[in-house]
Parts: sequence; structure tokens; C-alpha cells
Amino acid sequence: MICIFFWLTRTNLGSKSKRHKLSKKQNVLQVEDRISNLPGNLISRILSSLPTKSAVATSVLSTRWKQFWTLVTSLEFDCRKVCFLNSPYFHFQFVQSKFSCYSRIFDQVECRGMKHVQEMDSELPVFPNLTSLVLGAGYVGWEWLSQFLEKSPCLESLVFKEGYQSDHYRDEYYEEGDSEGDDKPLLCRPPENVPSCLRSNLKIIKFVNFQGDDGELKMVEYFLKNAEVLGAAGLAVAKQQLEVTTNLLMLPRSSKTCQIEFVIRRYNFCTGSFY
Amino acid sequence: MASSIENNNEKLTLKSSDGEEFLVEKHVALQSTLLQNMLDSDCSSADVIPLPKIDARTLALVLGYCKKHADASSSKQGELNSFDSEFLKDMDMGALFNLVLAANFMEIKGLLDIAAQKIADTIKDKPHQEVREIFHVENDYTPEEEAAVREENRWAFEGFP
Repeated sequence: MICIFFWLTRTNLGSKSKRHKLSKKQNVLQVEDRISNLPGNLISRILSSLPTKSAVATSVLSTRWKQFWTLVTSLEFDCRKVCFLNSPYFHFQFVQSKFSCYSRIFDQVECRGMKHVQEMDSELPVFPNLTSLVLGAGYVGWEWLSQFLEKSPCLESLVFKEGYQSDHYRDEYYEEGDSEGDDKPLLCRPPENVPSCLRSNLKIIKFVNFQGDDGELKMVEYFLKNAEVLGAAGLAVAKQQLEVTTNLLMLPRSSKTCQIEFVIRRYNFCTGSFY
Repeated sequence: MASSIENNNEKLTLKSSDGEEFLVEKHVALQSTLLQNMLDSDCSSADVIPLPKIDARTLALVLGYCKKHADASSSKQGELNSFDSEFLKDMDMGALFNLVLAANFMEIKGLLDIAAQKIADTIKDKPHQEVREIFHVENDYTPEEEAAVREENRWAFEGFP
């Protein structure tokens, strides 16, 4: 909180000279920028009432708005593939994992038209108010995710809208015989460090399109093992995968109150989504 | 039951920043968490509660909202919803900002929600230049900086005017 205030004060100072210049040209009352001067909690509330894409797009309004969107309480990255390819966080994932298991998939992406990947300033900002994160992309990597969780100390709810379909993407990007033997590029190890939100805030985790592959099982295992105050883990599974569920129930849980809930996945053709 | 009716009839006086006094029924004032906390902790023994950040015009609007919500029974949710959408309908931006700040200060969650949503709706789906003009936000990016911001989050600007 102190950080936000410091940052707001700092940005405040930065804009004063510009505003002064403008006031010579026009009546001060007419040009008063009230929205940029709202307290951080109100800016957070307003931007949280916007879809994630619109909230992020406000970064172009002025230099003060560049980081305002990071004050939101919820983010929903629902853009499946294409738009994620251009986000700095996607680049971040690339840079962070240049020598790790993800590099090959990103080589592929680069071949498909990605430029300037390494030149991007890919530092993830802190999301001080973020309580809800919805990921609509199935290929979110551990590197990216653990960094993101590290930057979201208040996170209470994490939803994988498309599950964690590492195999799906592997099949798509790799040709037959491309990954042989022990070389399984997409099955990364979960990080050893545990982000602070897992220790104290994360209460809900959901996999809407749970396929039960190794990557997903590792992900669930990690959260059950490390999320100390987890209240509910919800998994929407296809009927034929119910056998996976018995294995999941055996996994160790650090939260004594955690309930694992299985839902038979149904597709809603009206909304185009599961549940 | 009798005592709660008696309590409901209690009144308190709020004073706006420009010195106007408003006599408010207690159950109406309780829509504000700030006033509720003051009443609970007995800070309200003073005859008049000053609200130095809220002018009379704004306070009248706020209390109108609180009265409607305090008097309506829970079965009239539909009526309240239409009241809420009418409440902010033709409000100018200056009044809306006064209102959102007052709701924030007095901690009136419902009013805060609809006022913030109204501001968000004004931003949503509009070209950025239009948003800047509506809110008098000065674009202090250099063209190069603005291009870099757009590039950094290119996905967010796809399909934007």
C-alpha cells in the first residue's frame, strides 16, 4: 500500500509541470483532470469494472495511466492464443525460460512472425490488489505463472479456464519424432519457491477443462501441497476421466480444510464455455 | 421490536462543507459504514456531524440515494435497480466525480459500485482520444513513447479504434 501511495505521489509530481503549461492556454477549471487524481482505490475500482482488455488499454491515455491498470482486483486473460503472443508477459515467459523447456516452442512461435522478442522490457509489474486471476490460455508455463503469483500477493482465486493442456500444444508444435526419449520439453518442474499468496491468501483454484495429463496433475499436486489456506479445488472433468479423480484425492494437502470438488464437464453452446 | 422502531425515529444532523445542515433519520444514515461506525462507537454524541469534504449539492444526492435504499424492502430489488440506473443517468461528469468521492469517503458500497461502473462505462469501447477529451486527461507521451506502450500490450489494443 505504501508503495502505491509513493508511486501515486511520484506520478503526481511528474505531471504538474505539463498541466501548468496547459493552463496558460485554457481555463484551468475546464481542463481539470479529475479522474487521474482520484485515490488509488477508486482508480482500482473503476478499472476493475472494465473487461481486462479495456483496462490494460487505458495505459495509452497518459504516462500516469501507464501502470494504473495493475491496480485492478481481477484479471481475465481470455484471449486464447493470438493476443497472448504479443503481450509482454508472454515475452517475459520467453526471456525467463530461454534455456529451459519452453525455448523450443517459442522458437516455433518466433518463426511464425514474432519479432523483437528479446528486446522487450519484460519486467512484470506488481499487482497489489489482484484477488482473482482467470487464465483463458491452456499453455501457461510454470515460469510465467510462478512469477505472476509472486507479483500478486493478495490473490485469492485462480481459474484455469482451459485447463493446463501442455500435451495439446506439444502435439501442435512438434512434429512426429521431434521430442524423443527423456526429452519432454513441456513437462516442466514446478518451482521450488512458494509464492506468498499460496501461503496466506489463495482460497480457490479451478480447472474448468481438466484433461488429466501429466502437466495438469503436477499443477494440481503443487497447489494442494503448497496452498496452505485453500478452501476449495474445483475440477471440471469429462465423464470418462473420472478415474483420474481417485488419484487426485490421494494427493497430500497442506490445507486441512480443503475440499476437492469434481464436476462433470458440460459444454454450454450458448456461452461457448464449460460449466 | 418497539425499541428498534424507536431507534429508527432517531435523527442526526450532517453538515456539508459549505455549511448546510441536513436532518437525517438514523436508519438512512446507517447506509453509510462511516456513519454506522461513528454511531456504534458513540462518536456521534456531538449534535452535528461535519462532512468537510462533501458539498451540499452532493450530500443531498447521497442522502437521496441512502433514503431510497433504506426505505425499500428487500422484495423491491427490481425497483431499486431501476432507481439506481435512473439515478446517475443524466449526471454531468463533475457531479459524478463529487458523488464517487463522497461515496468513497462515507463508505456507501452500493453507491460506490454504481458510480464507479458509470465512469467505467464511459471509458469502455471509446477511442482513447475521446476518453482523454471527456476526462481532460492530457496525453503527455511523446509519439515514440505512445507507440512503445501500444506495442508492449499490443493484444489489448487489437480491435480498438
